[in-house]
This record gives sequence, structure tokens and C-alpha cells, in this order.
Amino acid sequence: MTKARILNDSGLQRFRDYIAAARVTPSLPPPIEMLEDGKFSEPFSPTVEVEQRQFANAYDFGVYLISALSDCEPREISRNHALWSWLSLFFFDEIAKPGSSGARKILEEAVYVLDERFGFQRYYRHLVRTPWLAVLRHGEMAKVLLIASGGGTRTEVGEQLGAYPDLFGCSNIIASAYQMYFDIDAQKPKRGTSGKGAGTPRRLAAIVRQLQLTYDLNDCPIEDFLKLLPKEFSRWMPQVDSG
Amino acid sequence: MSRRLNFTGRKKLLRTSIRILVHEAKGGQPQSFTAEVNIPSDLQLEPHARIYVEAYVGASAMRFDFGTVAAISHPEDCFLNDIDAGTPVLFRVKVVDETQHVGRLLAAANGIRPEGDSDGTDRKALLPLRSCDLGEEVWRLDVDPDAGPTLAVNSRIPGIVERLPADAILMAVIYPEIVRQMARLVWDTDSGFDDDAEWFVDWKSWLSEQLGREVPTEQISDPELIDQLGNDVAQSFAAKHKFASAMSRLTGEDQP
Repeated sequence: MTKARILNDSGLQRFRDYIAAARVTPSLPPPIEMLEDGKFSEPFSPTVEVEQRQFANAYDFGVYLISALSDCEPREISRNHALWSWLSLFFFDEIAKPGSSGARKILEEAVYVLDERFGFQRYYRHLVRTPWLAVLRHGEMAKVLLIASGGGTRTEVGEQLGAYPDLFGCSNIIASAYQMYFDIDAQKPKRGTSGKGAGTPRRLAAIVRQLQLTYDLNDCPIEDFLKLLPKEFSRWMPQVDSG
Repeated sequence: MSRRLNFTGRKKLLRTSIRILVHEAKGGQPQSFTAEVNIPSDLQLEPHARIYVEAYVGASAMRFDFGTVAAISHPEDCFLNDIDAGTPVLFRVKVVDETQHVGRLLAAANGIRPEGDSDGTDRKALLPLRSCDLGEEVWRLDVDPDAGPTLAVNSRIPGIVERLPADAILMAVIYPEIVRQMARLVWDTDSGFDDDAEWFVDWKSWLSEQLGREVPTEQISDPELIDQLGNDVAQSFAAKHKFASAMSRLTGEDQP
């Protein structure tokens, strides 16, 4: 077990530099020595202990983080970019798994180093904070935001709804998306959820943004919300058990 | 994307009808707020429609029931204990007709900033100033798509709100960088903000004035050009206010 720390400005910059370099040289090892080095990181309070593990998917990772960070007040750590970035480096082998050659597929910087300004276009893509926040807010329903087909790191629902904090935080909208787009038996997204076409999560985000101008969706029961959706979503509607 | 469709006659609540004050956390209690909501009678809203005040930061939000149009009542508990710390909280007010299965929005106001000691009744400040706990950061620029930018300064630093307008060093360090960031945001096609938003139009106009030369009327996609514009406007702003000279005087080494 390792005590969690926070990256200081030097640590954050070096982590950014590493991401940029690893995109060019994918086999470059991450600077994990910074995790404990006082030049690059500082102690975090309260004491939180984390351990390297393998997780089946981002949902399981989120469940683990909720448990590991249970002594922290969520509102106090939610925007602590230095903590989330340290955790990102600590779990780097999990969120940027090396292939057999040691090379990693490095994504954009924002998924590893949390933007301290929380630029609304990118921060929701962070690969550690977002699983924690999604499970914290939505529990089981967060699977629709976090579990991708084929072991990928991004889901279409997460991409489309995560870009809008008010949608991401709205429990009945996420619960509706879970009913519509997540295959509970197979524990993965239903086929056909990606793309830009009719009834896709991309369209759902657009339609909900329009509905929000007319309706107060916060306390709207899920079944009533589903009835507001146009016909293009009919193929995704949960089947009512008539028996 | 502009979101201007309004098929149901939803009315706009003017921000002058709403006064919100945020009270800093103290004595182990989280931040709280008080609000004065006035619903003008000329809006002719249903008397039984409910009024909700929602506080939000990112995906964290809390909702408070302020009674009805006919009988507005302030809830006793307005603690913001589920709102993310470290950045200024914003508010929205909704007037909702709940006679149907799904509440219908009769009127709303979004992106409301609370009043602060620093900006008093100046509700149209280009860059409202807020103090909040930023950990070890001194300042941060927050930009909300509805409310626009806010300069957050760290409430752990005693008197920083009062010192900022008179402290040449603080101003020299903070403001040109804000101008640079805002210029990039305003002219970058990828920034994703609604270019019809009032704050966006105001900033674009102000930045153009600072630059003192012809500027693109449309957003641009060339990152180098965006950076160049950002640097130019920051430099122009700094030159206008002679920040480096002011700092030099403070250190006793005035420029020749």
C-alpha cells in the first residue's frame, strides 16, 4: 500500500512533459519516481492508501477509488487537480497499459493530467477522476458511462453526456441512458450506440439540451422522461414486461 | 451551439430580480447562501408555480425549494455541502409549473453569480472577482458557458480581494495572463462557447479595443494565429498599464 500524495507544480509540468514525449516515443517509461520525490510531490491529507491492482474496466476502477478515498470529503477532493494527477501517474500502468513491447497508446494530455482550470471541453475525460465521480454520483448506472466495448477507455455515452456537467450530474438522465444503451446481461454497451445517427447518445445529448429549455428534468421520473423522447429513440426503449 | 428555441413561451427572469449572497464556510459549517427572488408581476406567471434555486459547480449541484410565485419562502437550510469546493459557485433560478407529470419551465435565469463584497451592485463587470479556497493556488480563471469568466482568488490569503486593485505586483502577474487566456478563448473556434452570449460579445469587443487594430470578426482555427493574437493583446494591455515600470519602481530600479 502507498500513501497518496499530490503533484506540485514541478511534478505536474514534468508529467505533462512526459505525456508529450511518450506520444512521440511510446515506450518511454513514466516518471514514477516523482510519486515519492519531495521535489515533485507533497503529502496529502487526510491519509489515503492506494495499491496497484488490475481492474476489469473503468467502472470497477471507480468502485475501488470510492472505497480507497472514502475518508475524504468528496466536495473537497473533487477539484483537487494535483491529487487526481498524482493518482493518474500512480495508476499509469492501468490507464495506459503497456503492450508486450512496452509501448503504450498515449492519449491527449487531459486524460492523465487534470486541467486545473477545468476547461469544460476536456476535464471530463480524465481517466481517474471521472470513474470516481461517475460511480459516486450514479452507482451501478455509471456502467453506461464507463464500460466500453472491447476494453476501450471511452464510451459514447460518457463522451456525449460527460461534456455537459449538468447532464452528467443528472441522475434520472444517466439512469435513462443506462436503461436505453447498456446491455445488463452482457455487461457492455448495446450494439449500435456509437455514431451520429438517429437515436444515438450523441442525439440524446442534443435532444436533452433542447428539452431542458422547456421542462424541468431534475425531478422527472425516468418513465416520464423516456416518454418525452422522440420516435427516433424507440429502438432503445426498455421493454415493458407484459407478463 | 446557440440554444434559443423557445416553443413554449418560457420567460426570462432578469438577473436584477435576483440577489444572491454566498457566505463563506466557517465554524466547521460549509458555505451557505441567501437569496432574494422577486418575480415581477408583469411576467404573469401562474401563482402556484414553484420556484427553485439551484447552486452548481460542474456536475455538482444542489436544489433549494423557494416556495411558489404567490408565496416565496426562503428555506432555512441553504448550506452548500454537496457543491465542489475550490471554485466559485453559480446559481440558476427556475419557475416550474408542476401540474403535469413533467414540470414545465415557465421562467428561468441561468449562470447567476452571487454578489460579492468586491463587485457590489456592479452586475455587469467584465471580470467579476470572487474569493474562495484554492488550496495553494493564488488565483484561477474560471469560465462558465452561461455566466462567463470569473477571477477567483484564494480566500486563504488575508485581504487579497482588497489588495488586488492596488497591488502593482499582483496585477502585473495576474491580469495580462487573464487577457491572454480570454483572447485565446474568444478567437479559438474550438473553444465551444456560444458566441452570442452576452459575456462573449462584451469580451470580444473589449479585447479588440485593447489591441487597437483590426481583428478577425470570426473565430479562427489556426493555433499559431490564436497564440499570436493572445500574446499581442496581453502585450498591448500590459503596455497600456505599464506593469513592468510599476514593478521596477517598487523594487527601486526604475527603467531608464
